[in-house]
Amino acid sequence: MAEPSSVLVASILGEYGAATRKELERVLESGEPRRHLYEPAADYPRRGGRMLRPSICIAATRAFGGRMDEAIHSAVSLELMHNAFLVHDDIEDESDLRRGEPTLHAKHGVPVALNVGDGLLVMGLTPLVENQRRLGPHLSMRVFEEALRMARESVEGQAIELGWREDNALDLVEADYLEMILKKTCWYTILYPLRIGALIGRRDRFELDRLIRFGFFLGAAFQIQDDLLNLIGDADRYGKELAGDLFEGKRTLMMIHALQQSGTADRKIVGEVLGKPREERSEGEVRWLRQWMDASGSIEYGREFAHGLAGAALHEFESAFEAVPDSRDRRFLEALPTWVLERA
Amino acid sequence: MSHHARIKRPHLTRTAPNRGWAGIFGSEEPAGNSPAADRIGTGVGLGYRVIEEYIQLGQNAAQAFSAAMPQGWPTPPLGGMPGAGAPFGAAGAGGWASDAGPMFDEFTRNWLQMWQQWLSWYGFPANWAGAEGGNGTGASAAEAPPFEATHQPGAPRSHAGREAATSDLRVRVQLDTSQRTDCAVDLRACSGTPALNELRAPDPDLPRLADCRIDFEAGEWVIRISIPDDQPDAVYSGVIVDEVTALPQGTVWVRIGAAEPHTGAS
Repeated sequence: MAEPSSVLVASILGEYGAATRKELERVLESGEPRRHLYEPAADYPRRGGRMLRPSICIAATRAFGGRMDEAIHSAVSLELMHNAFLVHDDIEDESDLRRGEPTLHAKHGVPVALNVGDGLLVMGLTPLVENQRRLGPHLSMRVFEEALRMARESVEGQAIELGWREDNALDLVEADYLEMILKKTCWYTILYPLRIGALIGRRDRFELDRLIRFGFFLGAAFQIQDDLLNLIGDADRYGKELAGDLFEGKRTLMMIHALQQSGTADRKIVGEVLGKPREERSEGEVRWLRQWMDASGSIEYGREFAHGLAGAALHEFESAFEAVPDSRDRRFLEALPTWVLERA
Repeated sequence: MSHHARIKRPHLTRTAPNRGWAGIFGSEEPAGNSPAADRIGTGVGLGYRVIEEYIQLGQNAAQAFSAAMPQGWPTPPLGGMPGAGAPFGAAGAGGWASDAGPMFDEFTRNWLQMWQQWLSWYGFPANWAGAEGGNGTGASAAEAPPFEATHQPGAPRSHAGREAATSDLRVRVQLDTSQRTDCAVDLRACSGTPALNELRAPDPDLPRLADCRIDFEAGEWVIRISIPDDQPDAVYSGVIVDEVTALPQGTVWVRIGAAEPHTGAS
């Protein structure tokens, strides 16, 4: 009997996550300088996490006909780069918590954390070079090109979001938000692992652009749900500070919707609150923002929006994967749109 | 004839089919006409607009890139996204249009040199990148050719397929099988010491065709593949690589039974 989809997702995340962690430990070798580089570099990867990205990479590789060992270096590389991005994101966002513990820069200071983030990026490149032994020069080069593409899209998306905060942008629309998360989130969370999985599994004989609509809708639903959990989630399970996005002045879909629904007076207040540096934004002001969002119906709006995008992802899955035979890995990928909405 | 009233279907309050996204995850609310469905539909429509515009940007960039590309360069394999046609990552839409050729030449040259240097640090052979003939490593493989050698049940087990030779490559395929089998070979080059990797199906659980080899005999390349009697129906493929440089030189497909060739191949 086939596993229920929620069980299947949890099972594959556990299975492929464990394989990735094992290989990750090999790459995260200890050396000198230990205290200011290698130990803090291993900190975030060892805090746990769902290993969603490497699991998608491995599942896509297998669904397209490859083996786990052919994808493992790319999966490890992705997880290291993800952790590098997290270290730098936490500095840029001035976040206090990551996976339930103080952020790296809160523990070690910004200069050390910045360098650790750089180190994790460099470590993330090493497995891509090691791909050469298993995949040969052509495929390993193609994976490298995809990694370059993903990194560029991600930093462009991050720049757009940081720019909004820097400019205290208040006149954004939903399409602006979707374009930003397409670059910031969808590429490295969904599209890149899917694309390299198809690349490896089909030996560069699959039209990768067929995956873009599915990857975009799934990644967008994932990001909106993540933003919702930041506002309404369970603090213990979420691992980051609740309402942290409001403290950081992030322009989430809910924030954009609430601004659109507001009159001049409320927009003025919001503009003043969001225009302050983070450390000057009080808890009372953040509480007011949260209530203002509720009153604007923005939480419900975000939830409905995420459901719609997840539905579109399900719809697009069929055309993206029509040439892929049924397998446990294919069913895992198909179950992800539902899973992103169910996760707490 | 019965005098009982004829049983009729109850009259539906809705006048249109229930289509929409709202009910897809189990909502009991009819999906078609509710305000929630309207909002969700708007969001999904917006999502499609954003992604289609993004894809269009990529197609524009790919067309501009393709038009500006020097003769002999591979056509960008994908036109769907910004930078997709550029083998070395993203370029802003239209960014390639004005001076794509020289800029790309320079970028590629520098990139390949850096990559070779990097590989040499790691102890890999450093000559592979240049050996691609200067056409970059982002070149997509050729279209899968039509299936060429065919074996029907009842024919002798050892079957000599017809030649699939290019102008200066002579290739013969020998399939050792009792099943209905088609075979195709895409051989772009063949030199040095080629080796045929085991053939595998898209489904990783299916057994692979491991008994396969390529040899040079009497002026032609001979590909021999032995297929077990109980090999499941599927399309299997394997890569021909140069054992020394590890450069791919071609691909072999074998279709067993009535398996459909995967249409996703490009």
